[in-house]
Amino acid sequence: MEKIFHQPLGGNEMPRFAGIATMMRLPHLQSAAGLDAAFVGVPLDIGRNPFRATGNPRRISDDPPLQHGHWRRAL
Amino acid sequence: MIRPYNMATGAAPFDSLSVADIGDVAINTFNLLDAVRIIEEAYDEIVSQNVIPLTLGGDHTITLPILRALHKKHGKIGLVHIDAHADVNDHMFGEKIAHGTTFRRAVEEGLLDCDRVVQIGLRAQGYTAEDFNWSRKQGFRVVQAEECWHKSLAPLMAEVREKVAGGPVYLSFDIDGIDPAWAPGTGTPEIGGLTTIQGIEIIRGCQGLDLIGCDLVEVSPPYDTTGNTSLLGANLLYEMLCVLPGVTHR
Repeated sequence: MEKIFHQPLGGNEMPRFAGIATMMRLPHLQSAAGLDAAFVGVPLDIGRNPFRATGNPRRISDDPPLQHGHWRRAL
Repeated sequence: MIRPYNMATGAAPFDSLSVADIGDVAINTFNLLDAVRIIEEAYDEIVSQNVIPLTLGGDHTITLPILRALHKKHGKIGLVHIDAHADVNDHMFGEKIAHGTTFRRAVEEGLLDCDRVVQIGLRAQGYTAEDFNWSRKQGFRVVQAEECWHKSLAPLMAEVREKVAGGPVYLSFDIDGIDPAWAPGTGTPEIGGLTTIQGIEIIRGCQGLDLIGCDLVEVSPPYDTTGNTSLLGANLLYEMLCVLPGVTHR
């Protein structure tokens, strides 16, 4: 399989506040096959006290201060 | 914002490695032990593809199943662990699997090469001195936060590289290692923590190690009211990507 060097979607290709919510604006793939490294979300927060629930990679999207949508979309 | 080239280190990760986002692991949110099993299986699959996982947590429980999967392929693993807490409790409320027991279980299960383990940023109150000394008794180098105050961590990282080199290394970064001034969006904030600059120095200081995986855990979106903790977490993951083996610097 030929290696594909995926690039972050640039601000001149798609406005920075728009586009599909992925880590570093990289493509979302269903499988790790053919990659060298992969960003993976593990949205587990039941291994800790729930009153400060931790850890969802997907940030609340309808809260104005959080409207970037994801913590993986913080960049 | 993300731009592909690291202006400080010269790393060009996206021209060197094939990287993508493979989404989230579909955990069972109603059963912690089953969730841990699912995570291990998901990482078995990633590891079988010879892919280095860069994980967005999630609480620190997730590092145990990740280490289990990596250990099956790589054998005993060295560890650079940044955290306000040692996470070596024997149990939490009687439970052996929880976000504060991860590294004790990893030692008991033989996943870690204990002489190649460093914990950085530990601080605050404990129950007894044993809370951190248990780590030291295993052979870990423990660098409490006070040892980091007011200075660059570049010299420390030269020592760290010497200690953890010689085999596969995992980098586990709990965002609460950073001071809550910069990273308030987390479940167990502790004052007197590392600066964001020191966090970057630690990660950049891992360049040259045989990194087999990295994670950034304990970001709590509901407490991250400004988004700055997420911004920091995502940037730290970018820095981790930049120090993976095989990344070109130009």
